Amino acid sequence: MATREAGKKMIMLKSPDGMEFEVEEAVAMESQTIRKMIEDDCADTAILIPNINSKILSRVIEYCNKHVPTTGATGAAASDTVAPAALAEDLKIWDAEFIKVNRATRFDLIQAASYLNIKGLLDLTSQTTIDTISDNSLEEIRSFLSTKNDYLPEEEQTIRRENQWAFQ
Amino acid sequence: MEQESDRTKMLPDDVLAGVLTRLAPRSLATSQCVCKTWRGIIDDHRALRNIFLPNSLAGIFINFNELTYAEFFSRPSPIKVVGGGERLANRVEDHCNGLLLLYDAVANPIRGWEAPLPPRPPQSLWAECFFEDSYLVFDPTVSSDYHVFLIPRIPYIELDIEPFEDPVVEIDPVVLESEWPPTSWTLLVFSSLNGLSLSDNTYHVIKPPKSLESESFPNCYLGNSKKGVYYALLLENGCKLQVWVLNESHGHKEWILEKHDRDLKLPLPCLNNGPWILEDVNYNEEKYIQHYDETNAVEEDFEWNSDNDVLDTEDTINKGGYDSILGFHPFKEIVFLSRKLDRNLSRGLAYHLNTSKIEDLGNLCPKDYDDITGQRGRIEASFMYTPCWVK
Repeated sequence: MATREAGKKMIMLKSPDGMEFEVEEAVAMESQTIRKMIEDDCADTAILIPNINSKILSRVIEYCNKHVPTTGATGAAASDTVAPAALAEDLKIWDAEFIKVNRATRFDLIQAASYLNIKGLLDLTSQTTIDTISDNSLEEIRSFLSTKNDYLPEEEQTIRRENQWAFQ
Repeated sequence: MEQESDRTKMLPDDVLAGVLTRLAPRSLATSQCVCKTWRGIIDDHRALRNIFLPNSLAGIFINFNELTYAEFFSRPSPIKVVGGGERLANRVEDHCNGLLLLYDAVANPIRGWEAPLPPRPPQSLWAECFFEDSYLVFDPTVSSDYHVFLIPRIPYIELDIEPFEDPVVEIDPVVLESEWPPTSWTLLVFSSLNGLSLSDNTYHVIKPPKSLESESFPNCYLGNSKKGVYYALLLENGCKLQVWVLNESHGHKEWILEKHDRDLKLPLPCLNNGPWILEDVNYNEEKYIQHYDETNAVEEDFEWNSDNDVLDTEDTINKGGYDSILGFHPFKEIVFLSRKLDRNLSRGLAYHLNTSKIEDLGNLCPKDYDDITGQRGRIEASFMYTPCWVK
């Protein structure tokens, strides 16, 4: 949980299941959605984040905490002392660990990143899904995403014929 | 809904659409087959449909004089455009938004799709003395149908033929002197929607911009680029470039000269491979090799000579400018040019209109081309190819 540091403005984020998270304003503003609320003066007390449970919200905050200094938001200091390339490499390794989650959590993270408009997190979570779709066969995609094939056999034949070029 | 339990595990449509916009066209096409929901999402989102539309330049199709197949000149890419020359058993007559017009078919090389054209109807008597050029019109943002126009052209007559030679085409002088296009003309149009039709629509003539009087046959190219319709001329032995843009505002059309004549810099001759590569499909085909062997047998002996591998800087390099305009980049202000350096050696170059920078793309000469053609080798036509995944 974030601790209050002198001189830093803190923001309270509330999840629908009643948990509260106190974060630095700069960290919260990694989310373009929250940034807009703060800039529009809609964030005096606490911000309720709908549809994102505390488990996912805490992970999103963890991501923002890690990523805030490199994006040059207020309060950034680390980028002055560490070489940018080394910092980027460190973040990449951290991201790879961060995204090692089960499918349901990843989808929740995509949804949260999309609602909160956090580009880096959306890129990271989407890309992992895209890699799955790009590298696997139709059946593997269906089973991995537990998506049911709701085509009738003849419908599937037609759509497959139309997209035959993609399977070659 | 029966898939409700399944859907709850999935993402909301808009979020899923956002994820899918990151896919390459091929994977997106596969995704259409995953389930109806996904297909519906792809159909409903413009950003996803746009992935299938022609939005990048993949390379240039080039017809070389005396070669059977069109060559493809491009930056190597994991996406294979031409299936080893098997499908494109022809030269390219025209290109429009990802579809190629061959002599008797329309083809999408990237999808391996091809549809034959009906036999051409017999020409009217009056039209017999004209060549008919065919043009393809296809706009996947409007419809998946395409049209082929046959437009007659007054034949080019060689004026420097030997006195004892007959002109290749005999034309009634009255026809040559008459106004072109004639005031009433029936155009042959093939539509993939309606089949063959005779168009009675009116047309609008846009005359090319005035060129220098002294240049009798300037090397010119009409094409599309960033700001619309462009017209370029190579002047003064290929050392000067004129670029005109068609201004279509205020209800009338006029050509506007982009800056003044551009003196083209001649970059240092480069022999490196790439970054663009000519596919050399003709050389790789059997017919080509046979043809070459026969030619070799009757003509002079082209034994390997180490001199051929060395550029004679004094004699050849600074002689001329650029030979021909290959075309315009469809989305950036770039003119593609070709420049012959030596026997069997020519380069493709990109001229940036805004910065006047010239970029060397790579070798543009088909293997042993000058040995096959003698001095008659030249680029007959070239087409900027923008892949389309829709049709």
